[in-house]
Amino acid sequence: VKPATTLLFGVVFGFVLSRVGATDYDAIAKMFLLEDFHLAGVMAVAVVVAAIGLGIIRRARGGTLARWAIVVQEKPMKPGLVLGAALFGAGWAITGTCPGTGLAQIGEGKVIALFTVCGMLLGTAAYLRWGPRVERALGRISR
Amino acid sequence: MWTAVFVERWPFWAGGIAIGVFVLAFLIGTRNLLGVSTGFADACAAPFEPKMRRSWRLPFLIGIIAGGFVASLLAGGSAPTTRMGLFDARVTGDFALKALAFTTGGVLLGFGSRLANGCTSGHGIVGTALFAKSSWIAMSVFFATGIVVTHLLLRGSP
Repeated sequence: VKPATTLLFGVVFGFVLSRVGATDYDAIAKMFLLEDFHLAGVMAVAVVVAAIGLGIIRRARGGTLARWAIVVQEKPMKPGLVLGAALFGAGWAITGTCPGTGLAQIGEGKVIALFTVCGMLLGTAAYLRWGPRVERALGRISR
Repeated sequence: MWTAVFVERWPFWAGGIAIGVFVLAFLIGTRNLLGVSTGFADACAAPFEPKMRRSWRLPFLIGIIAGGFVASLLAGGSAPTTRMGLFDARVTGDFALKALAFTTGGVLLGFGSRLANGCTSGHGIVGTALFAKSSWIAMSVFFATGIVVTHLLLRGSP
């Protein structure tokens, strides 16, 4: 896949995240405060639409659809799943941001998002350095 | 029409359809499942692994920044701001403290998403749409901790 193609997909994704209000700190905060379910609704509808499309593609036998189906893989269960998800949820709550929306916020001119994204890069680098060790330790505990 | 598309926030159903269709278009156009946090791993590895510098995920991440800029521009443009809504109102408006809090939150997002093997896009939208057990667990835990931590932070009680 050409870099220009994925760049364009990125532009569209960033635009959509911004237009649906996913880059709005208060929209995320109010969802977690159980006061406004706009973004939960966005995600729910997105999951339903994607599930229908991916379901059709995944069940294809032969033809163009089957060529796309090859990459449609579920993520495996990993020892760090629950701990990682809990850390992520805490980060999501503090910043009102997830990895995609943090980038879009920078484009929107939200200066604080620069810190969020720098933090994400630091956290990712920390995982590359120490993640496997954490996963081995968690694997031992769960056995 | 212009206002509805470019200025006002999209209704939840329109936004949901747009993201759902985007997941499918992304698969067809790039032969990959949508995911953002893996791109951060490629970005972190790029200085050390020349192969990663050609990762298709890097221009995708840059594009997301550009997309936010385009959205803001078409909505009428807005000056850069250091404000973050309710966080300023209920936690602190102090720039240095906010920088510290959001960097810390970012570290949790970065480390957590790699440990969990996905974020809101890969697990939350795509994985749940595939009915993957790992993704439903991840998304449930994302929301459970998100709710508790937000209540502690903005309300002072869970």
